[in-house]
Amino acid sequence: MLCIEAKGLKKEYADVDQVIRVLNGIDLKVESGEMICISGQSGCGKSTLLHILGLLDTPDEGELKLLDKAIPKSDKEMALFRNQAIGFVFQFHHLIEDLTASENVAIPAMIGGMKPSKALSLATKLLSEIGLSERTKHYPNQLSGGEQQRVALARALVNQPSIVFADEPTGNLDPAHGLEVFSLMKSLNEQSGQTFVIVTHDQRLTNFATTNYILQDGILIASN
Amino acid sequence: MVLGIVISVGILSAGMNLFEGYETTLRSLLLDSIAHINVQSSYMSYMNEDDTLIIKRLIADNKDIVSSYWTLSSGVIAMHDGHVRGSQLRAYEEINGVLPYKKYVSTGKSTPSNGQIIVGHYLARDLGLDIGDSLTVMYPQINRLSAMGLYPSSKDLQIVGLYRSGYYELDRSLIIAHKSDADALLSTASKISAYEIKLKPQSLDKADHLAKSLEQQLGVRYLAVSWMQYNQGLLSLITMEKWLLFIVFSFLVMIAGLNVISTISTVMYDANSEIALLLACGATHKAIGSLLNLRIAVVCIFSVVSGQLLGALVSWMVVKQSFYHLKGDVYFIDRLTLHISIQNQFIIFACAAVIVLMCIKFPLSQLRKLNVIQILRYR
Repeated sequence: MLCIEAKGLKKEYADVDQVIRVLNGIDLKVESGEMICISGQSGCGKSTLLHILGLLDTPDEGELKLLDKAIPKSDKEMALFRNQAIGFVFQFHHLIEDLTASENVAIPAMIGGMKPSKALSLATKLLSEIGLSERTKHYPNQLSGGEQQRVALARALVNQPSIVFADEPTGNLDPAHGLEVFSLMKSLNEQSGQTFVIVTHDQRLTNFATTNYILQDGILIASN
Repeated sequence: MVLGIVISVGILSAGMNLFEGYETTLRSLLLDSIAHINVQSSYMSYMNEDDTLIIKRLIADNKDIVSSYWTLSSGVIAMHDGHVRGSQLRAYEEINGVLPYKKYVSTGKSTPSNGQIIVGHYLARDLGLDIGDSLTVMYPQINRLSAMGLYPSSKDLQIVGLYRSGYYELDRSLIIAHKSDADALLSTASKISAYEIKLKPQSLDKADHLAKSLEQQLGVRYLAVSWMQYNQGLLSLITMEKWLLFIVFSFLVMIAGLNVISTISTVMYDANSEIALLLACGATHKAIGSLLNLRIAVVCIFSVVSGQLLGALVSWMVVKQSFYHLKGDVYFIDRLTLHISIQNQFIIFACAAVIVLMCIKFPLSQLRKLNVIQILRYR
């Protein structure tokens, strides 16, 4: 099944005295269970593409289908779709400082309507699966950078989404922790068959992907 | 934010409690110590005691009337030890052995005999008098003839009681005498000044109607004047001042409301990373707005209620303090009183709640303008 199908996505931003076209007709097809990496120079539009694919942003032109369905129109339907079908991992973990690791992980499940007690037990189970069973009651500032990003990954996976979008997930980590997080994503991809779309600068990590793309001049080019 | 709301609502509430207390006390003292309908001669002259029989007959079956009695009164001069005060001399009809002012006699006898008087508390104080002392009362009209010529009548009368109603105008000027002494001073044997009628509290608003009806029945010789004609303007003015004060103090709550706007805006700015994350995780703007709205609204409503309690406490303390007293000659009464009206408290609560809830709505309406992508990417 086609998990992501994008045709002719275009996006431009108005700068002070010029219009910058960041995406200039992106065509992309991602099969279910694939793990793709998108790389490119800074400012080439990788994150913009990811946000459009993840329904956080809208394209100026083009068509987008996720899970073979047209994009929901209303704010409520879009939020529901994002909650159930999409998981996000950001460069900055964006963990809520006042909540423990397990509470942070449980957020999307609770937004989806799950009872807090059930969501917390699911979050604890998920944290154990990624090797953070001893850290469930810790607050973000008590965790290392790698642990924080693993908690953020668990948060993205708690609702068992079909697609996980990761925007520079290792950009804020040292090489060793970066590799650790990437390995974890790869193993989760292989175990659960979830689709991963990863934007990264790190060329070492592109070896984990099933398909690699380079975004250049607003066009997506397959590199392997 | 909380403190701002508590203090502003507290000031509003305390102001209203004290003003309501002032209005209620003044109204109550005024209506308790004066006649509600005053029947007098149309020709500005004295009436005969027999005239009261006609009036008594007319009002005999009226269920709105609680009591009625004649009075003899006139302006006099009170003199003692070189001090002089303009006063009001009054003699009252005794009904079944009870005089209408009895409950206001704070000290001494309540029924003056011949040669005795009851004087207002402040009049006695100003002249340095006490019970047992003698006061010279002079009627300032030349109506006596002697070998030396015409001279005004005067009488030395012994003080047997002190009158204190709380209504300053009476407390500083009233002299209640026996009818025979009043007659001797005013040269009014078997004459009276007016026939006074007191109404039941629930019938006070009918005073105008009753006065007109009585006037029609009595004919042109008599004039019936209701308390409304004398005092309604004053009471209406005080009520208007109270609501003006409410409007002015409501601006303080509005200023506290601006503080709510700035606080929520700051909170939203500080938490925009969390808000953006919740939106990315599938929360709707509406859901986040409702969550914030509910929590802040609960805090604000709690603050409003706390402000009302603070207002009650402050107004109670103001009433209990002994450093400041009202100037009776300016404000008619000399003490501050407290009256917590449920209706006023409800109005304060409703207005303050509406103001702060509107102030919550404004920053939360900016939630949709949050640039989720920028926040998630760069913070």
